[in-house]
Amino acid sequence: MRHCGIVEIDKENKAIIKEAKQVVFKNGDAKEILKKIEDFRMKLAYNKATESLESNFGWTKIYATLIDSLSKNTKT
Amino acid sequence: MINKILLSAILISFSIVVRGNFPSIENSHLVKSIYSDSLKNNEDSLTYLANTYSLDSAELKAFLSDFRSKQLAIFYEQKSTVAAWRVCIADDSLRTQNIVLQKTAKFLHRNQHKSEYLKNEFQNTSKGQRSIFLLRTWWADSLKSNFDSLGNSSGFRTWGIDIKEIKKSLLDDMKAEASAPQFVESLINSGKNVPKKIIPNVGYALYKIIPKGNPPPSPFTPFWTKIEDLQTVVSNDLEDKFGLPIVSHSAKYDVYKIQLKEGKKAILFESEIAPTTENGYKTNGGSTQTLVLDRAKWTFPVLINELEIFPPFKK
Repeated sequence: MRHCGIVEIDKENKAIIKEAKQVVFKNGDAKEILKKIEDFRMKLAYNKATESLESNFGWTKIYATLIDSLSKNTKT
Repeated sequence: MINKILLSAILISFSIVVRGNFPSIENSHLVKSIYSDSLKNNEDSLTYLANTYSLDSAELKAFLSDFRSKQLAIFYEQKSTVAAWRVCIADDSLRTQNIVLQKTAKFLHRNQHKSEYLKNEFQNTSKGQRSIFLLRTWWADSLKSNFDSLGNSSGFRTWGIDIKEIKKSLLDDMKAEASAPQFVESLINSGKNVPKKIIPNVGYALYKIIPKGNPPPSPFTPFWTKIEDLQTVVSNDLEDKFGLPIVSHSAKYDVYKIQLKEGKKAILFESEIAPTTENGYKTNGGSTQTLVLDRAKWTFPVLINELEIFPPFKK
């Protein structure tokens, strides 16, 4: 994952992705982490300074893959 | 090679000084021979450069023809100069100009992954517009290099209306419409005045510009604009009027469109775009932004190729 260089954002993003991967790996309940991912993306999007970070640093694809895996967990 | 040219110059000067005359026939043979040697040396150096950059046979032919009788110092002074020439290969006039090679090489040095994009975009630009395309490419890159070298807009700030100036009822309406009400307050400052409520009809369309070739906009971004607001600024300092962060400055722009889905009711919030600063770089804003606070009611953004924007160069 490409870091954007804004420490707070990178730290939060890393923690969310790590937690999401753990939920996928352990086949745990995905609802909570899906909400965290959406909230984080909303926070970035609702600010003109950060709205393009997820596109410009290639995070959109990472989230899409994780959300896809997590959604399977919520269905089963 | 330089020594040979120097020697030739000395011989000519010597001939003029000693005999008060131009070089003798023997000396002019020598000069021709030296000139022919220097061409041979140039060709050897060019072939070496071409091999280093894996130019194909057609490129090699054009490369030798362009530089056989020219000084080659430019290729050794700056890395990526051959790559810059290759990017501009579609234009036999621009590709041999030192300034074009130097500035394009500088761009490629900082944006190594953009070589193919730049080559294709340069080629797809009409001949008369290619210099404008390059000027805008260098301009946007120089802004990034000077004011946002990490490309993360960390120094970007909007200087709009204070949250205290917004009536509670309006803020409540915005929060009620928003899919992320907890972040609505961070939007207020992007506008210069109090947002105006708009009720759009089904099919109502909004647009967003993205640097050409970049990925589509974030699925949650609320920052959109109407087509008439976009058209008004296309030829009139678009980046300044839209208060764009430097990372969103580009030679050309892709335009994405969203529409209100059938059966959905939405409220939009329009305001004048606020001035911005970014590590000393300023924009005035002044165009109109339309805030879409619940993107779930709107279609997925679609790239509209025919609306591509290529503003003039006025800097």
